[in-house]
Amino acid sequence: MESEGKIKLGYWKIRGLFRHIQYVLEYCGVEYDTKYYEAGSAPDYSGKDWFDEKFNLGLDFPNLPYLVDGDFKMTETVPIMFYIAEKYKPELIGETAKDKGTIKMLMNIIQEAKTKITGPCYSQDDKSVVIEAAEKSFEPISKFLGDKDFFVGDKPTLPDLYITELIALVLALDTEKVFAEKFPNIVALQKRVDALPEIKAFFESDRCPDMTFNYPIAKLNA
Amino acid sequence: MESEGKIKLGYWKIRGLFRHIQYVLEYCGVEYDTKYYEAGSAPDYSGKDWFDEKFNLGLDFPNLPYLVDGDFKMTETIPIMFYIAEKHMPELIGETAKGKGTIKMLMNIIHDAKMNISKPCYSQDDKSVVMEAAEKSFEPISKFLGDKDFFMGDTMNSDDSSQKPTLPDLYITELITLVLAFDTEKTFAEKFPNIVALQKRVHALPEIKAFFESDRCPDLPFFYPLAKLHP
Repeated sequence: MESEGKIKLGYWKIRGLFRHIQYVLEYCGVEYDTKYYEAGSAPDYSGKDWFDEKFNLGLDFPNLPYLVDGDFKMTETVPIMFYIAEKYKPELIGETAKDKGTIKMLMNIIQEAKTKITGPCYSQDDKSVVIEAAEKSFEPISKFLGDKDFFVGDKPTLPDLYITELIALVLALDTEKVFAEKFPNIVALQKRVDALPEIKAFFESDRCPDMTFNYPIAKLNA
Repeated sequence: MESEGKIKLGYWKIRGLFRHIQYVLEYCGVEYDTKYYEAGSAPDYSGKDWFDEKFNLGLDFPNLPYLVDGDFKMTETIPIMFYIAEKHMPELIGETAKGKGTIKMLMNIIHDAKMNISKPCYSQDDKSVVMEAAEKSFEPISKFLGDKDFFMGDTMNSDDSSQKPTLPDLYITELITLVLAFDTEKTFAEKFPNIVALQKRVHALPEIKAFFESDRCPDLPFFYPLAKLHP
């Protein structure tokens, strides 16, 4: 039985695996509350704020981010985006079998790109290594997008809302503009999504605090 | 425009990320052809058989496994399972928003478990490291399953209280088989009897039994030959 109350989400006080979920919530016009967990103080950033609660929230697979919708609880960032979309704006996940398949494939590809790009931010401090990983990951993504406005069809779907935050991270580290020059259609996609009325309104709201992309332990951050 | 021809799939000549896709195809009663790519000879196992074709197949994100259905092509093993299910047996992916959400979460969790269990087999040769990863990964999965027959229990059916398999049951069974093949001391089997029972239950499904007896289920290794540990 779903309550009529707001959806609640929990995550670290960073953009990390959360900001792209907000893009989906905001585009769908869903009201939500967020519990932000503090990383704690340098040098450990122990995350005690979260670990004290982690196993007491009734989550089957305790992790951040989590979503609570009435008596329904779940974790895993990409499934969370699908849940919100399927419930509030199913066209975001495709209408034909082919489009649904393509959208799921793109979400996987973007998730792998994010892992390959953020991984080196935690393990080393050479920005060019990150940009190299970004160029390799975005090559086929940029080719797939081509001169289209959005990945699938003529309106945004889930992959457009998911990838925009990743593009923002790469561009923040792309001080030499190497990436931006190589993939102008990717830069244009980010601008296009950020210009959507719902996303513009989100940026101007108090639900979009100024936070770092990565956890404070990361050697590279923005 | 989808052709009436058979679905075609491609993968290495191993069980790897493919056998669980076959479970889904077979359970859905879908006819398919498979192109198996040879790894090549020791010690390189260069996979030339695949790499010669990789960029000439019209795949947007060339990789194995791939699926071709008429003029539609895709890659990524879990999206492939969802595509087959959504097209041929949508109840496998859930009926309510909550059911669909839970199933997608479980698919992610099982994927993470598979990665945590398989990766050490490629990077080192101590079986106990693999078994430790398996126990850690399956702890919450076993707890979630509890005493249900299948992951979603009887929440999937409005007309009867019987329990039916959904996508996570078909996905996880191959991973359970891999772990049990390593579990020579039976420590995993003793710790998670409900997981062992789930594997037996899926294997006993008429469609899966028939699959095992067909020529579509060749005797193949789990891993690419480069792996340091094989069961």
